[in-house]
Amino acid sequence: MCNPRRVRVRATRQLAQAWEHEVRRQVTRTGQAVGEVRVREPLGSSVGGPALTALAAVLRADPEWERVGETFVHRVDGGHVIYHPAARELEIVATATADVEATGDVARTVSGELTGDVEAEGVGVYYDDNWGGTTEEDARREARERAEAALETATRERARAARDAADEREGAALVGAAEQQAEAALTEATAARERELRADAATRLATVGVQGRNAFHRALASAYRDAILAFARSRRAAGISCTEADGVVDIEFELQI
Amino acid sequence: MRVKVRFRYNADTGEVETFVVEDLGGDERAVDHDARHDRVTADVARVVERDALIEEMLPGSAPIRAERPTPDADADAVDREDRRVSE
Repeated sequence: MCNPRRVRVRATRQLAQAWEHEVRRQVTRTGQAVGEVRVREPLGSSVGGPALTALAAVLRADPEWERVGETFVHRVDGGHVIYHPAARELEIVATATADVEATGDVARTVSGELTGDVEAEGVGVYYDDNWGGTTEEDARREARERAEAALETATRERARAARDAADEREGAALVGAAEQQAEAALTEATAARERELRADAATRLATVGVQGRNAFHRALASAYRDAILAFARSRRAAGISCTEADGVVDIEFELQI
Repeated sequence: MRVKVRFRYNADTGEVETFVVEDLGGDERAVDHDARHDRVTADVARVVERDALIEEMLPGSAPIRAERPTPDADADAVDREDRRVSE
C-alpha cells in the first residue's frame, strides 16, 4: 500500500425550490362556570329590637357565620344563606359549579422559495497502487456522490431553516388569534354550562333553604335566649330557668310588678 | 302582683311555640290590675317581637301550641288570668 491520494469534488447547486408549511397554534383556556338561584324571604315575624340586637352579637361570635359587609353569610352544602340585617331578610342561594375548558385552534399555510447557491464538498480516497481495487476514477466518483449527498443535506437544512423562521414569525400572530378564539369559546361554553348549572341549582334550592333556615333559626334561638334573659335580669326576675335541648329553648321567670 | 313568663322557641320549626305571661296572683282587686298585667306583657313581648298581638286567655283555656298543662296546673288556671302573645 503506497501513499493515499485524496480527490476533492466541490458541487454547487442553484436553488429555485418552492416550499409550503402549515403554521398551527392551539391555546387552551380553563375557567369555572357557576349557576346560582336566589330567593329572598322576609323574616317570618318582625323580630323585636332587643332580639335583633342580640342576633347580631350571636352571629358575630359564631364562627359558622361570616361577616361580609353589612350581611352575615353561612355556608351549607350546595350554597349559602345570607342574613340582611337592614332589610330583615334571609337570602337563600343555591350554587352549582363546574370546570369549563375551551380551545382555540388557528392554522395558516405559508409558502416561500429557496433561492441562491448551495455549495458542498465530497472527498474520495485511493492509493497509487490502486490498493483494494480502488482507482482514481472510483475515488472521484465517490467524491462526487458524497458532494451530491452533502448538497441534499444542505438543501434540506436551508428548507427547514426557512420553514422554522416562517413558523416563528407567523406563529406569534397566530397565538393572539388562538387566544381570542379560546376566550370566545370559553365565554360561550361557560354561558351554556351555567344555564345547565342554574337548573341543577334550582333543584337544590329547597334543600339549601332547609339547611340555611335551620342554621338561622339556631342563631335566632340563641338571640331570643340572650335577649329574654337580659330583660329578666334587668327587671330582677326571680326563678329564672333556661334549658336548651334538641333545638328547643325553654325559659321561665317570675316578675314582681 | 307577680307574673310568670314562659317562653319556648323551637329552632327546628323557627316558631315561638309558647309565650305566656301568667298571673300568679297578689292583688286581683287593685283597680289597675289588668292595666299592669297588660303593660308587663307588652314589655316582655317587645323583646321578642315588634307590634306583637297580645291576646287575653280566659281562665281554664290552654295556650295554643303550648305544652299541655298538668291537671294541677289546669286547676290552678281556673283562678288565674293569662296574657298570651301570639306570633
